[in-house]
Amino acid sequence: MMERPACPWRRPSIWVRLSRNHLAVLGSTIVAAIVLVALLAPWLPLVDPNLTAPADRLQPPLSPTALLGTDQLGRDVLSRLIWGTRVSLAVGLSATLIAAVAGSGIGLVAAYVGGPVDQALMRGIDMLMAFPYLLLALAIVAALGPSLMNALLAISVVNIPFFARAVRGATLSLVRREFIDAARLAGYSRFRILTSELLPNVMPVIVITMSTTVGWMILETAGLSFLGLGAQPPQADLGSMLGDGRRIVVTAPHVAAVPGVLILVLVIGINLVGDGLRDILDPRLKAGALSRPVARTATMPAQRRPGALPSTGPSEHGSSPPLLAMHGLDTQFEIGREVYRAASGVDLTLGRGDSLGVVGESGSGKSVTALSVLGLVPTPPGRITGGSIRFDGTIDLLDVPLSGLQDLRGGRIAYIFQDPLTTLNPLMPVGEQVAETVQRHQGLSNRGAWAQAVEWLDRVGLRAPAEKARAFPHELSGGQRQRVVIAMALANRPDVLIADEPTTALDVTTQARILDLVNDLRRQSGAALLFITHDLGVIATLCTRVLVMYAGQVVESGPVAAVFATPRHPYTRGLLACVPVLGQPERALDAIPGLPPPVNRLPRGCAFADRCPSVVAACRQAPVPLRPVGPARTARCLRAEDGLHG
Amino acid sequence: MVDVLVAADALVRLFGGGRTWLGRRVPVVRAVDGVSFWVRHGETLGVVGESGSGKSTLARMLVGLLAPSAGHLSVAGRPVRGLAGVEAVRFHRAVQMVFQDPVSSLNPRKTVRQILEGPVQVLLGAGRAERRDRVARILDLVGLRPEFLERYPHEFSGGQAQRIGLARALVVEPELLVLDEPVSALDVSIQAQVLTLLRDLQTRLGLTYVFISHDLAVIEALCDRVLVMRDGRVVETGPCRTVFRAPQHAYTRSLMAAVPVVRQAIRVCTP
Repeated sequence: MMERPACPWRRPSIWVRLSRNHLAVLGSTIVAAIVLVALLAPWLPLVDPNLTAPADRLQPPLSPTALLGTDQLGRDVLSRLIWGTRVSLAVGLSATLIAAVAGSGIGLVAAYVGGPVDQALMRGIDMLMAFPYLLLALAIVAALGPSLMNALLAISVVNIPFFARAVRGATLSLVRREFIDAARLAGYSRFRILTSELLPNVMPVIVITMSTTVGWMILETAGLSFLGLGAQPPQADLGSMLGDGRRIVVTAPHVAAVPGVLILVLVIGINLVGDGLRDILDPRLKAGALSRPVARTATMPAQRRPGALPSTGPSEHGSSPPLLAMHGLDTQFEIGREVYRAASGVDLTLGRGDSLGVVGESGSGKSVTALSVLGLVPTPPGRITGGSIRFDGTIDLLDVPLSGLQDLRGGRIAYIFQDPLTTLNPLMPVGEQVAETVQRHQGLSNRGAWAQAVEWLDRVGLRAPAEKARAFPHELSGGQRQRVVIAMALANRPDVLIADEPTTALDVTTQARILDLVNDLRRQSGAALLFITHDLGVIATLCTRVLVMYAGQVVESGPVAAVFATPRHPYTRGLLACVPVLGQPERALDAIPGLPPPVNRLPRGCAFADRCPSVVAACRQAPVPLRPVGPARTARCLRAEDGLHG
Repeated sequence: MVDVLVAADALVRLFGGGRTWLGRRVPVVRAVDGVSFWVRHGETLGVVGESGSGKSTLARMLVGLLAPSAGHLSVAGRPVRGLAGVEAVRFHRAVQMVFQDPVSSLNPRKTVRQILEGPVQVLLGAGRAERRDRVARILDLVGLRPEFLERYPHEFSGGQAQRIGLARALVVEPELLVLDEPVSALDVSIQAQVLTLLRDLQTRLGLTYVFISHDLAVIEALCDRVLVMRDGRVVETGPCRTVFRAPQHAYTRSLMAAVPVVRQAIRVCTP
């Protein structure tokens, strides 16, 4: 229900995004240059790398015959370096490929087939991982005999577990997805499901693992060669050159230093590219895990914010100001160059003891409006760019310092969210979580707060509250968890209770009980309720006034009974007409044709014009204002009065 | 009873059971516990119940994704049991499914064309020309534009994605369509579009539906008969009209009482 509107803006390609990462560009340049030189080795004017010349041994770098000097047998270091890099790269890359193919295969099959096959394969992998892997590689080479091919094999084998585990993990999260079931229903064979459904989806994981291990594998190849187990004399690779130079490092440091520096530069380059690729391909990083959470939504300061109020001062409402008065709220999401106007010009008033329902479909801005009240819209990308939210007649919540806002959060203004499982801390007994909020706002002792928590758990109708208080969230049912969340919200006797789809994740019978509970407790405590939902039925049961939102704007508001009986905006009418009603199966469902406009491409005129049955030319020419259309009612429609006769 | 398409007799599906490696018993869950029903050609059977009532398990057994632990299930006179090879292909030609989550039921790495052509190729063994032809026809039928074919699932809204899911199920022209909460992830205005489309397709193609939902009003709007499930068992069954007008079982009554409605208000505004 919380999905953002589908965006027509396309994500730039991998290469474009990679080119924005300067370190990755540096890395790719280094790697590309080294690979190019290595590939061109046969055509470069180089001396035979294995040609010995005892007379010219240990020439220093920059000597006339050898640019990087010669080693103890008089071989040209530059030539050996280039040919050696070729060998190291080839071995490193082949080992990566072999490990990737074998490991990914094992991971895919283990996750897809599951059961005993999974057990057997993964326990085998665990056994491989139980040995320190350089030791394991040494053991393999020792058993097979030192040679470059055996080193390659050994390095591939010890790296298989990394691929197998990463790919199995990624596949496990996919095999339960419904498109795999759909593929089975399409008659696909197991092999085809593995290769055409699962493999393309785990490919990013394989590429990430490859790019982060290839540098490592080149190092390991060098390590084995350094120990004399890889490349055999006279063949050069970076590791064996290092090994040769080691004995004369004091007299001729360049022989060891030159390959050493190259290994360093090459591996750093590869790792930079790998990190860049991972940042782009890893879905967890894509979802914004890298962006630091900010304690409150970025808000334009009052001086520059249109519609801001003077910081403090008497309100125009005189003696009894409304509890919460929102005027012209603009909240937007800035993603790349796109601006999504999630809430634009929202007005809302909530008096003491009021219950106001906000109804709308996904992307209509109802949740964003609710979250903006206490600056809970995530930043980035969220930003409040206009309007004012006056609380209790005096202060504008958008200009209150963060500490003041935090005193209000969960204190005088409390929230209940949709999914209690994600709202509650899974590692903390629920009673402690309630006690924690009580303590934060009422400064009670541990014991006092706990007693309060138990009392509230009792009040929200949990049986055996003292016992339930010690339970962890996963030990409670969905309905019980939501009761805990309600207890948390009400424990500090808030003036305003904001509930954002609190029953959407629950079964109908549970939903009915929770709604009753919210209603009773609200009446007892006298709190004002702001109830966000997509369900018109819930609004009718619980609220006295309703606000209908569409594409980030309020399109209609008024008393629930009046709005539902004679809706003045065609969207409200459409919404009421398309809900199936129990007991009226013959009623034709008049679907509203089309889709809401994306909020980053809002039309100039009425946002509903394209779906409206009674649209006229004037609707599209200029923004339509929200205007009074009856006692305590407003609508954003030029033809609001026409609806009365139609 | 010649026109019965689906016949289920005392279906049972258990999960768990057996022992762990350490010899501890794994508790048995009876997800579906002795369910019997039948569906006639061209009618819609609604299955309603809350989470954990076993309705999704029942759906997965109907389409052959799960094997029943006991009981007998037959579709179009053929028993559904241990399907493999040619049998499985023949079965899936006749029985298809639409899933709850429109986005998760489409492979994110495939274009709409690949998603739709796959079943035609595998189940009907159709050549390139026939595949294109069928896909074009089905796309038109579910109300999607032809240029959508080369796009990827993430470019679609929930309602459009569910139309693609519907097209994928219908492209092989099945007789029975099992719909597992096909509209509960959609917004109300989009939900009405899909429900209207489902009604329309049923009249045009003579389809048989098994429609699973937790929403009584949706069931009542679309179904001929209803099966009310609780804890894996059927507590009440009968024609929608009778069941919803005069529910016999206390559980059905409590379900109906729990639905919040705009009843009075809506009655006023509907002509």
